[in-house]
Amino acid sequence: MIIQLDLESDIPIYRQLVNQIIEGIATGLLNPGEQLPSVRSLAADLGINLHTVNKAYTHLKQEGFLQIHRQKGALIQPHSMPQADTPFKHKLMAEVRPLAAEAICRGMNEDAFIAACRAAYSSIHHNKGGTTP
Amino acid sequence: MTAAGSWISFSLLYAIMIIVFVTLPFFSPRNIIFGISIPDKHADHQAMHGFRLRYIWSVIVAGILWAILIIALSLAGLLEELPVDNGISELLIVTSVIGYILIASIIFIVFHGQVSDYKRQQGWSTTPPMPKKAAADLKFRSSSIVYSNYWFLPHLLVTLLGAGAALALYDRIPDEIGMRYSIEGEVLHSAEKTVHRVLLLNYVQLAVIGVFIFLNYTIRSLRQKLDPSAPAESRKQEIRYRRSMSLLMISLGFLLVVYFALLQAMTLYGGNMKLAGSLAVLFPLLTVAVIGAAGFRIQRKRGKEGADGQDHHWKGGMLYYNPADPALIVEKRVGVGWTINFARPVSWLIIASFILTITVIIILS
Repeated sequence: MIIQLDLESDIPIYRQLVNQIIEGIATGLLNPGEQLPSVRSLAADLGINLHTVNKAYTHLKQEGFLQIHRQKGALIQPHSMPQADTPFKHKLMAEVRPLAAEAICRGMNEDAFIAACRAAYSSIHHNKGGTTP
Repeated sequence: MTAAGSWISFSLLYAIMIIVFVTLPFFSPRNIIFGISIPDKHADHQAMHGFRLRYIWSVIVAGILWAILIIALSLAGLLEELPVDNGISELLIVTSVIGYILIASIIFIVFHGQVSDYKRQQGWSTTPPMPKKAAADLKFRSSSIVYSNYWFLPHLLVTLLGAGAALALYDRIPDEIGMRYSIEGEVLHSAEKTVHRVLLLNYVQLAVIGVFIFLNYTIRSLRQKLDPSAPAESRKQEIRYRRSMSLLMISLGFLLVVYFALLQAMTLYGGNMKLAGSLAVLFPLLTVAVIGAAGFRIQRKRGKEGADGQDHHWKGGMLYYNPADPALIVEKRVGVGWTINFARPVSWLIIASFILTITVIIILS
């Protein structure tokens, strides 16, 4: 699975890394229990700072998507993935809300907005082999 | 050592060194000249050819002058108490070669400085704009990017066969075995037969296998450099490059192991020592030729991309010092192979252990 970063983006690099690893898990490109490269080697491969990769891994660990072993290094959560609990739902609302607001300002109707959300969801879900809901 | 033999090994060794330094600037990406990166469109600039040509003449002329000095000193017997007809001493051969390496390196660094000045005068800027994108494959190292270490089994088999034969035929081996030979095959120094002395070359073979397994591991763990605009394609290219380097290392390792097996057979069970002597000289030549030809081919195929860091990170064009780079082992800018990032403390440990190992070997022998 190839990670691609936009180093000039407004989105912090560690965040891009987190997003792409989560998307890799969602699409099934990264399987539970699979090993990720070490912090140092991924930083060297991407030409970015060690701390940036470390921050991304730590974040993913806190969220429950990664396990960090003393010997095996970083692994994709081999047991149960974190569920859509209340804190996640709060976060979802908080992140969708400004987008909804901007969509309204720009005159996008509700159906178009929902359709965009659905397209994003189903393209990832479809890649995993799921059928479009 | 006889006079003729010593002169032959001196000239061969010396010729190899001159060839290495003459061809050195050609073993680098097309846009890197004496360790300085030149804008693509100027890589074939007239002045660059001029620098290369003058460098080649300088290392050849310096080589000849230095050789004349060494030969004169040797003939005059100024540096050793040996009579003239004894040829050139080993110590003087080693001194001359090390001296030449130093001289040629200084010439290289001078040209490095000249090209650097020229680049500044011309106002060429090659400071790459801050990269806009980056790409890396998370599963790069789980795919087969190098040949497996099982390919070292034949090496091990040859070693074990040699050791087994030496132990099985132990009684047939003469009580005094030669430890050092002249180029013409006469024994310079011999020692009483012991199990360890009989197996000495097998130990060397094991060490060689260890070194090449380590190199294979290094090729695997080197950083990947994917082109963010065409990651999948450059990934394929990267893997092809690593596999060819890995194959080169496995073949070279095998060549060396077979070489030591032949030497062992000849020294223990007798044989044409004249042949062994010429083998001992021809073999390093063959090795240099294989590395040169294969390395050159692999480099050319690779094109001009892939130079780590910027000019100022390459001290004298040769030593890599870049504190911002987390990588420990990087590809050389000039020459075939890899070098270490001296900005990482581990690199100093490596150098120290290397020097320590050599010192221990010298003291023990």
